[in-house]
Amino acid sequence: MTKHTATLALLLFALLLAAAGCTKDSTPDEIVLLTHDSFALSEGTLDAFTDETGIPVTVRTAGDAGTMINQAILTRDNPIADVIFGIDNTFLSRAIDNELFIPHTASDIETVPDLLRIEGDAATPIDFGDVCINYDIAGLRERDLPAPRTLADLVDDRYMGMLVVEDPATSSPGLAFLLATIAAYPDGAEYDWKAYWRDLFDNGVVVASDWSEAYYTAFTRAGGGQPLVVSYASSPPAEVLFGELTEAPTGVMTEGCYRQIEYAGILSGTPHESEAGALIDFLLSETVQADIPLNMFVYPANSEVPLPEVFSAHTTFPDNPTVMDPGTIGANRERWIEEWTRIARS
Amino acid sequence: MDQDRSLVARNPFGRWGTAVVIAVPTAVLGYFFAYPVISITYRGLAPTGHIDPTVLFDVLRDPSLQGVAAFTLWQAVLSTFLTVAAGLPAAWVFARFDFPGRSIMRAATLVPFVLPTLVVGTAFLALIGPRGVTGVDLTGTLAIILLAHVFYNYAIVVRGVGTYWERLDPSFEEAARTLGASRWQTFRTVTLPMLAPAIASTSALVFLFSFTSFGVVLLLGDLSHSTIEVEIWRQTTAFLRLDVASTLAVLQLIGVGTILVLYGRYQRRTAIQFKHRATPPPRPATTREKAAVWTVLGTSGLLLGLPMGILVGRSLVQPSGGIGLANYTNLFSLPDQSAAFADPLEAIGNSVGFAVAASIFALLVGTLASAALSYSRRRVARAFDVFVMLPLGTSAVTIGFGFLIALDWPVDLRTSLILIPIAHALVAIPFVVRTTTPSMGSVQHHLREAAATLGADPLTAWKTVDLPLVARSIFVGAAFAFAISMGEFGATAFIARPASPTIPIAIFRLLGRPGAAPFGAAVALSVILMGITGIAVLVMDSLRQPTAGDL
Amino acid sequence: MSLDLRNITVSFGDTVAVSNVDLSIRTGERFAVMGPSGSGKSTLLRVIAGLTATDTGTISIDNEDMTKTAAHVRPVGLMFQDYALFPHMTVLENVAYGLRMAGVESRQRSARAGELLDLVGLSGFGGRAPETLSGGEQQRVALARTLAPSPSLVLLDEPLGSLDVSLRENLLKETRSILDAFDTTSIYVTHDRGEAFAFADRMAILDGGNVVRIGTPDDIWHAPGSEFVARAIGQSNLIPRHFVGRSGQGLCFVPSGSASISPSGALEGRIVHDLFQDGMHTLTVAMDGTEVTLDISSVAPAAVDSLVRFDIDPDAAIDVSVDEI
Repeated sequence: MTKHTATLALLLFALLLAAAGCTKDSTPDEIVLLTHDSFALSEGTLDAFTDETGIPVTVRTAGDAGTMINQAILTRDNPIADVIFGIDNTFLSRAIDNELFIPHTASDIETVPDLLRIEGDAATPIDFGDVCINYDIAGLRERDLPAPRTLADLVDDRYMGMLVVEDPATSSPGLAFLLATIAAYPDGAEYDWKAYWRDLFDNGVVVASDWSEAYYTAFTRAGGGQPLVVSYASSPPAEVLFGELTEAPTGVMTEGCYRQIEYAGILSGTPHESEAGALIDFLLSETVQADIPLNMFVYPANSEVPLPEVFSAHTTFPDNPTVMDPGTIGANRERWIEEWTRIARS
Repeated sequence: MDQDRSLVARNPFGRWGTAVVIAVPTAVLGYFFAYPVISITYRGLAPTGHIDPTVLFDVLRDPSLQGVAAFTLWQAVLSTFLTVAAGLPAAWVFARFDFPGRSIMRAATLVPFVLPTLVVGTAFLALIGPRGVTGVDLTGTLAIILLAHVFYNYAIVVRGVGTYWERLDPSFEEAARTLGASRWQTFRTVTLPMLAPAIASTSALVFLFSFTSFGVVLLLGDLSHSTIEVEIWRQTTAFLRLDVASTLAVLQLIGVGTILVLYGRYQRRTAIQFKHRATPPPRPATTREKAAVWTVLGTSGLLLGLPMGILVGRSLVQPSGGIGLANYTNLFSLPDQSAAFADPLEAIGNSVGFAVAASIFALLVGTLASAALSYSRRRVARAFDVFVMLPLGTSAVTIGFGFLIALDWPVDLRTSLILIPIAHALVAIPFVVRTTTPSMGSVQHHLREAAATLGADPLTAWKTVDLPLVARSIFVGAAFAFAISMGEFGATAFIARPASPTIPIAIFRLLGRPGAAPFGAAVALSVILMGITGIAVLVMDSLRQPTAGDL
Repeated sequence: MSLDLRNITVSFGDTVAVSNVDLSIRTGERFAVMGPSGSGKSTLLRVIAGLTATDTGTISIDNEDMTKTAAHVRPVGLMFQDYALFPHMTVLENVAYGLRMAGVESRQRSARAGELLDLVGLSGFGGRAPETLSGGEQQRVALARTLAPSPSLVLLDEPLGSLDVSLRENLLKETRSILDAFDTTSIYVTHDRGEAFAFADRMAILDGGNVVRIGTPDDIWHAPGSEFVARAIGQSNLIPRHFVGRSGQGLCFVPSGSASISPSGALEGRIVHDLFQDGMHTLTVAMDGTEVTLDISSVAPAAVDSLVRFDIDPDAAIDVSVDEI
């Protein structure tokens, strides 16, 4: 390469650096929202916030929920965003332990059931969903099997090799399902969750690395071998909506569910604390809350917001989903995952 | 003997020029690779400011991690061997023969490169899954991982070795035949040794790709088949155990570095004088040649074509049943139902834009690095060679999180758009370097001397003689760079991006929703990705055709 | 243009390729450098072109010191033995390359390159790729390319070396007349004495990196000065001086045709070999520890192994070397 080209390359590089430097916000009136790849709101929803406050919102997506929270922790001293949304209760303690949030009591917090809230309002619940076993109605019919009703059914040898779960180390529904089993068969019980999982593995449970793999390769709906899959209670309405169907092709096992709650929080390093607080208030307002179900297939945390028709018509509400205290999860998560992994590998 | 003291042949840049040529890629890789990686590993290993060696020993002693390390190496060696074995016959066919559809098939070999693992996985499972049409179920076995690695990396061998092979003068082989060597002896004693630099180069790339394999292993492997790369990700995401993750990252770097040093020793800088061919190779003439060509093409067609064909077929199966284009039209209507789905045109625009930027960046840096490798002193060149290749062997988690904690100095680039093409370019640069360096070292020094005696200063001589002669190799590297960027889902997954997605991210989002429509749309978008990549590669392939005196 | 080499030495490691060479070439001269392979003649050429570094010595062109001048600045053109045609350029682009480097504007240089192609008899070949040309055609392209930028000094490194013998004679004449048309100074490196004699106004003979003889072909032929030079220029019929009645030790060259068979001849030897070719018997005769070749008439004088008497015309003998005692 010639001297000219080399100089040109250097120059180009310098320009890029400079340009990049300029795009980075230094204006105090922009709020950056860090979220995971599954985040979605209808177009224009966030504009309502800008109309109200005059502050534009920039959304940055950061991979899955686990990656996102790690990013927030790694950049705590010089944050890349003002508000984070999408930390669920399985990861919440990691955020709190790392002092990631500035507590904030949202203006509409009274509309949120107490069950979803956490002590001191370090983070604000925005939505929740239930992780449940889904079954493929046609797949079970083909095998002449009834739909399983309880966790105990799953270790029945009729369901040998019929269930696919996600690895709790790499998937949040996977971890949610593990927590549901731990709630049902707690540590210290005569028949504890470890014994249950040994039975599950003896019964041929299949492990996928994430939800997409489980749902789109192993599940019989996608041509796989397992008619039972760990998914969401809201998956059947999504199947109806996105499959242009009138009836759901899948059903939900209402026992053994786990309630995943997603939180938003003000990142502790932000120089724009009050604007960040306003954005969290906005996320809990009816404008956003009503938009959440059909975009993210979860329930709004604000209990005063009505559910869309297609959502309520095809959704099965689980019986007593497990809601576990983030502190308990935080204290035990690693141990539980490690023990699970040991069982899975043996 | 003459060039020992040659004033022109050895180095067209002069001492200072070479320093600049080394300095630019070093600065770029130093800032965008070494600095972030060192920052994140240091943070992981020394959270309190000093390094605690006990973690290292714990990791080294952990039997399950030992198993992971052993499996990582073992599958990478096997994958490399299989890919080279499968790719060489095809490289030969593409280098030595012309046949209908040659350029299209050549371009098609690069297409798997861009496909998301889950999409490829579904195609594989349709063939060799529990309900696969072949009746053979390979799920959870090493075989399916190896097959997937061959599928993904086939093009590296076919195109990398093929370009080199195309330019070897066939008269060497003819000479061997007339001296009584059989076809096999000729291949073993003449062709193979001459191809060695190209084979070594491509093997190194395939090895690094397999060694750091993530998506394939995660999808097709199971808990007992895991790579260091997957383990780094698990340790970071699931446990935020930066110490363990960093230790593993260091071990991975040491492993990769060792392999690269060994490979550098083995790789001689042989200056094979290339024959410049302006005319395309001949059609297979004898029955034997025809049989060989069709066998090889049939096999690669099966290996690459079948999974891709399944995807095209699937994209035409409509959510409501029947055959049609509903999945393609859904791509445009789904975003109206939920903002979770991206506008496909926007995603295509983003992807192509990033790919063009990444390719240009990789070409600039890669060509300079190649020049530095070709013309600097041997020891410097060797060390530099390893350095340039390292990003390919480094965990995407490490690079991605490294960006995040390091690149706020001197200006905050952490959320800048340019990080995306740069992250892509880091993976692409080794490809440009590997495809370009063998040719750059092989340009006859007489040509540059002739240019000098005709009044060209060393740089002009290099620009007007060497550069056009290696241009075709550079374009091969460019095609790789483009494809890598189109499909890359590694380090970019770990940096904070603007909400507007690329094609792979749009596919990933579609696959994050239950329902026949999102799945069908994901497959349709994958087919579009295949199409765009195929066409772009075809265009770049046509650019690499010689122009002078084409008959 | 004149060239002066003073005390040029080039070594590669322990091997001395060119040793203390002094050489002056005058303006307009056609100069040949002749020597066996490995004698350093190509290295010498590369030194003049500025392609190879010297250990010692100076190179001046027109009395200007060019020892440190880079190759591309020297007013020197070099035609490589393998032609080194740029494979990625057309014939015309190859020929125009030097003009392009000199900054000649595109249309002008195409026109000039076209003229040169006409001159070397390759009109209409401009658009072809070099590899599609025959060896002789490539040689002429290389010559045209070398001459295009009008160098003051043209160096030709074994220009006919890779060609068929049948082509060489014609091409040599052509090359000579083309160079004459350009009126440039030229240096022609070859191992072939025929080419050197046919080409050169003056020539140098190299042995192991040393110049052992410089002179006009005529001078050198009539006074080789050493057995090496004599053999290098094709004087193989060397016999001790006393056979032709000259005093002193040393050898002299006798043209094979200068002998005549005669029963009363002063010399006697045994016929070792008899070659009959083109109607002429060529005898190899052994006498007194030496052998001599004699061309005689169409009638064989005697059988192999028999003795024969003959005379050598002493006026035809050339002194090769006189060893003073």
